[in-house]
Amino acid sequence: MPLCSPYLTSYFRTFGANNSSAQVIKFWWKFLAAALVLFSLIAGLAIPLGPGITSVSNTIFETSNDLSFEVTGYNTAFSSEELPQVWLQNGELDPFKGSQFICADAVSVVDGKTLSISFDPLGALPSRICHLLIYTPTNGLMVRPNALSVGSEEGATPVSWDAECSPLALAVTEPGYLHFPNREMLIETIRNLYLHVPMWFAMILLLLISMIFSIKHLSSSKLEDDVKARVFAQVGMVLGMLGLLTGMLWAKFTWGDWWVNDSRLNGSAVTLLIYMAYFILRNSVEDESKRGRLAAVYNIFAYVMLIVFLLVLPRMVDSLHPGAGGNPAFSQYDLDNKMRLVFYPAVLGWMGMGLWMAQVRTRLSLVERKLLWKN
Amino acid sequence: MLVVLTNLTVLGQEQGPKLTSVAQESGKYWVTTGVASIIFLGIVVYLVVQDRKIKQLEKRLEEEA
Repeated sequence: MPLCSPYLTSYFRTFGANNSSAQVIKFWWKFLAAALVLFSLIAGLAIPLGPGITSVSNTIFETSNDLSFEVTGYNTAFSSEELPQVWLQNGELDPFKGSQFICADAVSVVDGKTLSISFDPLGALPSRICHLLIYTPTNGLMVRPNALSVGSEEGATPVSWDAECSPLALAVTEPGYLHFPNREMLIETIRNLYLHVPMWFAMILLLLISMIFSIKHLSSSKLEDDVKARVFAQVGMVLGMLGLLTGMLWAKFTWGDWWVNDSRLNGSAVTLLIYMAYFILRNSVEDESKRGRLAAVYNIFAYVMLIVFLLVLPRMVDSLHPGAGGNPAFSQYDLDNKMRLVFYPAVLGWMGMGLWMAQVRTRLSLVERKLLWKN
Repeated sequence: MLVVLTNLTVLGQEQGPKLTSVAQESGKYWVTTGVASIIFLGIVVYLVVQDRKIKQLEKRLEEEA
């Protein structure tokens, strides 16, 4: 089967084969990796965020007074033809844990992104915290956790709950277009997931391969295996540094600081330092054979430390980071199915790109060594 | 593969009513997507060129040996 582009054909011919189709099969994974990363970049940035609530004008209220406030939405399309249903949810955010709902008395649409909402005096509430829920068939169900809180309860009469006022009976529809979830605090930065996490996964894979080559080097004493172990660790470190930088950027926008005292963040920094020490150790020994064996032993221990600092310790203590404090990182709360559509190709793509880069660097190092011996 | 995957996204967008997206309205999405894609394609082209050069070197070394 001929290739469509003459440029591609000439590219494959440089691999020493006239049959370019055979070369496509041989190098398919490189092009698949590039295509998957490109897809994750385009889809990860271009798919819009779902509708959400950005702000509430009046966050503290008295239960004995009328409650009126304005709500500003993000990517919403409020319309007076489709009047939104609005509830205050008092108690736990999980509606099945005994929380109560209060229906809004008046809702008016100011524009596509703004609603004006009012409630009659609410009376004494079991909890001081109220969550805001807004639903329209076009926008779907939008939830703003901890949107309002009670200032004081003096003089309030007990609230009379309306059993029929509940969104639980609604047949909730999702917006009719592909969108990412609009999570409070994360908002647009949720897209960073397709860069930050796949880079760490790719790093873990490359460092695992590096460790395998170190074991091979210890058993065979082949210097080629030592070169491969070094190169895979180098490329893994580059991806790890990128993962750390994208994580810091994300932390600044969501947690308010570039670095917080968190077990996973500190663990990742310690891991990278351990691998930096691996390269320092390599450079400190001149004899190639001795250097290879010493570095191989260190590399095996470094990978064990990586597992401890990145995968074990963060799950044993509480942490801001998803995937810590005992919870798996890819639970329904952290990652919904629409995100998996982009996330999994991104993981495979970045792993493939990492392998490609490591392969190129390995071959370059081996050619350099051959040229050095020759001269 | 890329075309198939991208079309999946595009088809997904065309279903249902079109809502206004803040970042898409201002054009920031498209600028960011374009810049990120160009940078990434640059990396891929660089890798392909390196791949070619190394292959030629390997071939020359094999012939000389």
